[in-house]
Amino acid sequence: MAARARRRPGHWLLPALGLALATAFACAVAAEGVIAADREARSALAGSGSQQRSVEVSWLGPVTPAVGRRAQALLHGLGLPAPTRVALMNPVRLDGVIVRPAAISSLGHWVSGRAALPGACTPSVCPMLLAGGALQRRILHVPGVNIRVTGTTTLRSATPLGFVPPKSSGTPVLVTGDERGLDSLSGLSGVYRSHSWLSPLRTDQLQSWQLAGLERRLQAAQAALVQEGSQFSLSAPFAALDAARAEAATAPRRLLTAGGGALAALSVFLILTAYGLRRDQRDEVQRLQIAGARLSQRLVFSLGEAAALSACAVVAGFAVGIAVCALLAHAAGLPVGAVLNHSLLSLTGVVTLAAGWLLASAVIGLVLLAPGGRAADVLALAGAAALALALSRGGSTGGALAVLVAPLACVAAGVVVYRGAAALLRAGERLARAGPLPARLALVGLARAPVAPSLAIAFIAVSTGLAGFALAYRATLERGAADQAADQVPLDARLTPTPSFQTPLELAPLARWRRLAGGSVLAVRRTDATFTSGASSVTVPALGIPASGLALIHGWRTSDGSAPLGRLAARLRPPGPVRSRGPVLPAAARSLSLTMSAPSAAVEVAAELRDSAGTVTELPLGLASARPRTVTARLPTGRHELQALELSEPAGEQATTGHQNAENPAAATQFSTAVSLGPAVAIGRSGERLQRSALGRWDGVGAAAGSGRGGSAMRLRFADSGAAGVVRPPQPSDVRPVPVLVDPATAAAAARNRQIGLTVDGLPVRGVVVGVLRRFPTVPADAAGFVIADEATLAAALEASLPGQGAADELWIDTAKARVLGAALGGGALASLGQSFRSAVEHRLRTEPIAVGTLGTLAAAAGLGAVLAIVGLLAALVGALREPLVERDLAIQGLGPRALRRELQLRILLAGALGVLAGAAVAAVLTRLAVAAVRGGATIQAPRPPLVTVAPWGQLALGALGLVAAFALVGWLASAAVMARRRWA
Amino acid sequence: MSAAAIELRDVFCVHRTNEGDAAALQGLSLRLRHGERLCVLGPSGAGKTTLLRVIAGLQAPSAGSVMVFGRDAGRLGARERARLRHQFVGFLDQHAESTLPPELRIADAVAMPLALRGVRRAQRRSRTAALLRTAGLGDRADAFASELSGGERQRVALCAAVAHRPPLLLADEPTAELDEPSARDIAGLIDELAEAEGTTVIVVSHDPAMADNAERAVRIRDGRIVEERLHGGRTLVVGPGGWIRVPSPLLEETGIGATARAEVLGDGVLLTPAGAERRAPPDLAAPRTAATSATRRACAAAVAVELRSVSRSRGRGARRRAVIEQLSVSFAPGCLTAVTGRSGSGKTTLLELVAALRTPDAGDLLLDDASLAGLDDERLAEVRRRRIGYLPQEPSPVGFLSAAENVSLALRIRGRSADRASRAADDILARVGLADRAQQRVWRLSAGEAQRVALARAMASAEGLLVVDEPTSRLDQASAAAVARLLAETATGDGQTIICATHDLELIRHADHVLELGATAPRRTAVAR
Repeated sequence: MAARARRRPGHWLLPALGLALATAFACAVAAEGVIAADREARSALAGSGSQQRSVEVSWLGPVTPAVGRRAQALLHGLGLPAPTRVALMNPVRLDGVIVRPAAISSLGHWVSGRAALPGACTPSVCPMLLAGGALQRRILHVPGVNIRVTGTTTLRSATPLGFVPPKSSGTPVLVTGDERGLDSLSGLSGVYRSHSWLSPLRTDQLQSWQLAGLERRLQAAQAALVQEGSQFSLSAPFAALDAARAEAATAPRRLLTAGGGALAALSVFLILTAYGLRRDQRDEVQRLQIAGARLSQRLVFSLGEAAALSACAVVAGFAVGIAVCALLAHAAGLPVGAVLNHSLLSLTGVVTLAAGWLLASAVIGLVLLAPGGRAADVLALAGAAALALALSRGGSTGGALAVLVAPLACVAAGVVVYRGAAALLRAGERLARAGPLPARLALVGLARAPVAPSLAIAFIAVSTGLAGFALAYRATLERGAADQAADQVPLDARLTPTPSFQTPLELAPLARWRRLAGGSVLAVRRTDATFTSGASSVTVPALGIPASGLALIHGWRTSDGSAPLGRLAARLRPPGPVRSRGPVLPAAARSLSLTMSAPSAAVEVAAELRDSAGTVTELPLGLASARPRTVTARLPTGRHELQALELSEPAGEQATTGHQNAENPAAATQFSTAVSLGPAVAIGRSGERLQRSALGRWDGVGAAAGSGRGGSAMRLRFADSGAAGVVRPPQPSDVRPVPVLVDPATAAAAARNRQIGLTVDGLPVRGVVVGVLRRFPTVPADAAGFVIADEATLAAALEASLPGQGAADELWIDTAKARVLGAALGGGALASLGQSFRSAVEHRLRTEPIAVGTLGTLAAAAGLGAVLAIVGLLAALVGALREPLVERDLAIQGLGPRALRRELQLRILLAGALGVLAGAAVAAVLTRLAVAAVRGGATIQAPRPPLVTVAPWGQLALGALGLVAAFALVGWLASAAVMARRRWA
Repeated sequence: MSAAAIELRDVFCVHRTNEGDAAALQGLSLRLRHGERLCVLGPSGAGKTTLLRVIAGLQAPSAGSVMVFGRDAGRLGARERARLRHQFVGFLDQHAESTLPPELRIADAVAMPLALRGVRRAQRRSRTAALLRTAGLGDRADAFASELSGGERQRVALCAAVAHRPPLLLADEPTAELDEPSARDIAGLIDELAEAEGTTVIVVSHDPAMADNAERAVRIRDGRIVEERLHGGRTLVVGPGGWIRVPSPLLEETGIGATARAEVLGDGVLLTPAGAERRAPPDLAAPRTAATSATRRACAAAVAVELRSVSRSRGRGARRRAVIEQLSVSFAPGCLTAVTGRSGSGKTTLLELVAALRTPDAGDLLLDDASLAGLDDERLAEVRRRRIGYLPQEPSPVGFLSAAENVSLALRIRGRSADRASRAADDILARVGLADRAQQRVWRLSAGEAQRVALARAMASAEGLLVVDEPTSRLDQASAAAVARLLAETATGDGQTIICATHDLELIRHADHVLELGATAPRRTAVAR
């Protein structure tokens, strides 16, 4: 064995190269896994709020220097940076004003604004900044306290105080940087306060592998404080740390799974090249057999050679792997030594390396010892079965295993291709008989000694398949990211109400939004709809969207709806006006008078006035009582439409009946009364009657029941049910149901005439199902279904029941000026709106560390595979595995160097093309598995919308052509080099 | 009767292949005493090598018993068979390469069987040195096998086979590719070493001289022993049930065809042809069918070959060795010249020079008075393509093509049309006796038949010059004689210049001239017909 290694080290070269590269690749994947884990952890920590990233030590009681030192030592002992000291007092009345004083050390880090930082706080003067709330006075003076407000500022984060004071509301918060000074003010000595020392976790300095240790130390410190029973308490972001650790633990597993799959594919190269050793080994074993070697001696020889080869290759690969790991860590800005210690040089790493060596030795030994054709046939059959199984499972395979399925299927396909290549070459030779002689000679050359070419073709097929799979993976990932982004943000941007429920349209009119966007802006009403399905009621999200805007939605798939989106949008559009307007009051009208009476009980009457922007303003008119009277109320400025009159129980009675209803749920209606309303008269500045509107044809809905029969007054019956009664002109929605698009389950709940009774936002709406959708953007994944309607139609239907209820609360914006829009949303009142941009979401999804890592791993495997494919092909046809008899025989037949070179080029090209062709077929088949792989490689469990396989045919074809061209070039170069050296005898 | 060293009873051995089962041994029975030396003769494919492999435990018999030194090798598992081989067997293969590891120096190669049996290093050294001295290779102990001539390699392989003093030596055609002196050396060495250790020896050979020297010889045909010669006398073997195999030459001479009549004649049996027609003796070259006679090739012109002071070396650097030195010789057009000489004397090198596959280091080579000196590889290839048919020592017809396709492909390369190439292929295959196997894929043919396909390809390609290297090395005697006649006739009838490297006496007998290499000076003699 030693003599063989000494005399002919070259025959080990190819398998050793394959194994060394596989080892180096595995090392790189392991290192990348650690790096990706670190990125995931940081991303998870960064995703949690700054408050959730801080460790806080609190002290209940007066602070002495010893207490301060102890708190600082505690944090220092945990390896955390110097803390921020915070003192926060309870609200206190000073000089007649309620304020909340606070002190934050290193104040400059925590506030923004132009005001200069306040100086030292002393009993004589304590300069402070107003950090929130409104305060008219600049000086607050009480005995022992002399606060001077030197300016205003804004807290950058909620971390120090636990909240960010509202700008102009709430208790004014005054801050100073002098914690000790504030603490020592005698005038505030009786005010309850809390002291805390805050150390934010520095995510830029915290590595994923340090999380567990940090968490243990924090828990130990916390437990020690509890045991001491001291007034100290420690709170730490355990949840954030746990989440980060979970993310970090997921990343390397997923990446190693993907890398492991790619390694399985690379192992084909090892098997193929080890197969090249078989002939030589068999000869040697036969020699030993003839020489009288026992079975055990022959086994020792074969396995020993396999083990020695593997050991050399694994060690070499490990060395390369360490270098690659160092490069990756350096590029990622991580400490190289630490990454190495936690990946390759860890105990797990070394044990894995040893296991890999044993495995490789076993594989090579098996290849060397296994009976030739039959073993390969069995492998091929197993491969074909695995391939069929993988395909039958297709995209349904989920989880981490899914990433493994495709490369394993690649391996299986490789074995099948290997066993079929010889027959294919022979068949090709038969076909080529009618063609040009050089092509036939090349095919004869390949087919007459088919083992090495078959191995090369199989490996090219595997490499091409893997590369194709990587392309499909990338395309599917990108498509998935784009679709998911569009699902969250259907147009370019989506604005949602502020935390205080202010809608975008309340902050700025639609026209301004349109100017900012420079494109379409869809006002969207988002609410809930409840309907009855069987014996239960189901509540689903309901969206009102301008029907014309549906076409603008990104990522819509034809399979998402029962008909093309354009047709569905057309079905949503109302056939006529969606709303009948009430009388529009003249511009000169200053007040509105209404004659009304309610014989049996007093009823509160208000006019609902709607301006041109659709904003509804309630104008209380007064109490309708037994005696008919005409009430007059002053109109708000602007021109208004009298949309409706709203009847309700007087406020005092509301409280009484509310109480009664609460005590006795069975009692619904307490009383009812007839009500007469009308006419409504618009009165000008000088009291002149400008317009008289008859209400005799209006209808009552809700608590007000009755239809007008003409005349100037409307007579109806108002029932006190706790709900409002609305009297308004007859509306189209009274006779025409609202067209809706619904999910299949909701559609199933509709009546035969497709109508469905909905309660939208608490108001009854009659809908008719005009289309079924499988999904709709922005509808939460866990929703039981959804109802989509035209925004104007839905709003009109809601307004018909309760004016003001149809107001849109979201904006979907289509813009070419995302930057301008983003800048506008970055400051002022608009900044507090919920805002998401599709491009940002898409970018975030695309750059998820695991997805990127998996893609990188697959791409690296594919690249490596392509290089090895070329190496393998050259080795098979012009290198160590070539069959010299082929060329010698052709030379004997009279082929000169030029013809031989052409023949060799053709052989390389044909073998390469055949491999690429087989690989393209494999890739085309494997694209079906891309969805499963993307799902397996991402952190999200169930992407919405469901992923669809994207087969990048163009890229695949281009890649295949590129590979064939590369083989042609390599063949041209190699044949030139070979012919320059070789004589054919 | 002393206890038998080897005893085979009704041994059957079936080779299972993709193409179907083939019975290599069909009820073979054989008994050998301790220390007996047996020569096994028989045509290609008769089952000689299988017999040796079964005895050596390298292959399990399908049926029958194979007693080797009291153990039934046929009933042993692989592990026990390996142990049997380990204890009793020394094996010498036809190809020394298959027993000598190319990476080992020959001293180590000879010592390896001893190392496998746990012999100490010092003992290994002394035994190896003694053996190599006996084989006349004492000064080449540090050489690698690749640095030795064929004869030397075979001697080293023999040393390795007997190094551990096996009670049984099995030798498979040990002299097949050696010249006569080398063959004699090897035969003598086998006798000498066997004599010294009392070894039982079974030698498989085509070489009649080897059989003549053996104390006992058997002939195998179709997997059975059909003839035995003991101490010079020939006997036919009567198998179980009275089966007797009448040798083909006797059948040919007497014209017995498909049926024969047997009559008791005195104390013997007289066999006479039973049918009306007597079977004609087969001949590869003649008589031909009318069709093949009509298409006998009229060669463009026999090529006159002349070498002027040609030298050629092999190897590089310190291992560079002159193979041919200052050789001046001419080969007459239209004649068959046999090139003989001991192994390593440069026969193959000379043939490759003549076939324009190599160029001389010095001197000049002329074909039809045209010098090849100065021609580049492209021009040399053109010369090969236009004029020369070449059969290498290790021919490599394309296994998955039929015999006819192999020949026609060679002709297509030489520019013949598909039709012409196909017709010519059929003709030439008929001439080499493969008309009925023309459509058979080569990998389904026997080694001898495959060699004849390669010969047919070379003959079809030759346009005036046919260069053949050991064309009968895989053939039995009758086939070899037929090939010799065919080559002689091709030279005279087709007007080809044929240069043939051979050790085969039958071929040499048919040659017009013999060029012997390796003597102090090349010797050329004309052979009287």
